[in-house]
Amino acid sequence: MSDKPLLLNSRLEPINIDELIETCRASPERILADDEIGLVAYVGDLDIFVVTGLGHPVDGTPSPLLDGRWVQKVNEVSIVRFGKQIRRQIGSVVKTMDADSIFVVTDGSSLRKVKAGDLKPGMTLKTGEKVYL
Amino acid sequence: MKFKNDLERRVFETACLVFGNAVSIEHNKTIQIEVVTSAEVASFVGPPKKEIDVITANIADVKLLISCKDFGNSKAEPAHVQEWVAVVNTMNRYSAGTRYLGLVISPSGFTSGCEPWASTHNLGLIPPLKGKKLSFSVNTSLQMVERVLRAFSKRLNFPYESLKQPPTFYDFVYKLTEPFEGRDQNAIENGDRYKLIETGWISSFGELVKMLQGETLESITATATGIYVGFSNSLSFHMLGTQIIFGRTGQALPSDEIVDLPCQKNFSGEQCSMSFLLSMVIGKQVTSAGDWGSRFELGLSEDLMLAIEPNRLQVYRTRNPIDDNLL
Repeated sequence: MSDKPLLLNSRLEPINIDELIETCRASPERILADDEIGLVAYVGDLDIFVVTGLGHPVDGTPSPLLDGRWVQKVNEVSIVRFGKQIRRQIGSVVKTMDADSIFVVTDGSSLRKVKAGDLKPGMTLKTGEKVYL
Repeated sequence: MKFKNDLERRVFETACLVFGNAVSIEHNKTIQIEVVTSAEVASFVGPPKKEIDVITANIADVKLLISCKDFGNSKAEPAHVQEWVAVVNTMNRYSAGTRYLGLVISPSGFTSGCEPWASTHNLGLIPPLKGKKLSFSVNTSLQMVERVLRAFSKRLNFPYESLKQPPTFYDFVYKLTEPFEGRDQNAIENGDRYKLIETGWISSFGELVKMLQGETLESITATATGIYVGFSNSLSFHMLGTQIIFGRTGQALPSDEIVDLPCQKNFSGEQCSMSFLLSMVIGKQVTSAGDWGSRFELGLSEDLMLAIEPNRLQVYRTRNPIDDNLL
């Protein structure tokens, strides 16, 4: 399985990275690396954007776009063949997920974002499901 | 040609593989500076000069200055990165058009204080600094070097002005080297159990499932060397002892004798013929998979389960109640 970033086109619509990679494969010079580790392709001229976070990448200013998220143009996209994966039991289901998947957990009266790798037994997700292991 | 240590020799040879004659090495090259009051030149001692050992790759109007740090088990410290910052900045300051980028290679790793210096001044670090204790072998570090250099040489075929702006080159190197952690972790957990047919690359259970899910099972052949399962779209799954090899471009079956493998049906393991087992599973689609070490199971449409072991095949239906769904 692979770690896949959330990519957007110039109209800020989500795009499928697998389809993008197939497009890149049609122009082999775009493939910067394709090996046991994964694939990296140059997309600097294709107007591809990635969601970066809640604040501007440089000055932290909140953005009006995409529910307050900023997007940033990317020059290279990569697919990792061995994303670091972990298993967690959330509610009644044991799931395999990427270690950097983001979950929203309740923290007292507020909400907090944590990576899957940082989920601890006893935490409760915003959805009400409890983390067991 | 003399090398200061084995690491330097191997990095130089790797750079030559990628860039050919564009690579050179200099020992005790003297770098002269004019201003000695900046923090980044604190490592310059005595007169405002510094002697360095540098591997240079000269590509287009970019020169990549590579510093090899072989400290045994000790990690490189901020002073070592600062030193290379000063060298690269100095070279850029007195450059007549050529842009210099820096790469520091320290297989034993870097202490955490190195990251701000490297990212702020656009130096690539190999291995990557990930904010947690990681150790990579020298061989893995050299694989990282080769991956970075090859990708960098191809990247220069496109507009690369942005690479010169901090921290773009630092990020470029990081993104190319960071995934080695997952590859090495997978190798520790699974060894070489999974391999791809076409390339021989180490693979994983996840990649196997992704490739086979939804495909139609077309054939099963057992020979003295292993079990060969064919799927639609020229996909194959081979169980050779404890190793599983899979992928596209179905590999020709070995010429050794086809053997009659013991076949069983139902969960209790009743004997059945190979032709019966084939009649149940051929034409079914893969819906899931499970690896139990010596036994690999493929979930198939119509709630069937095909279990493949090096010396046995088994098929059963997973519907409950079991007694009402016997084959």
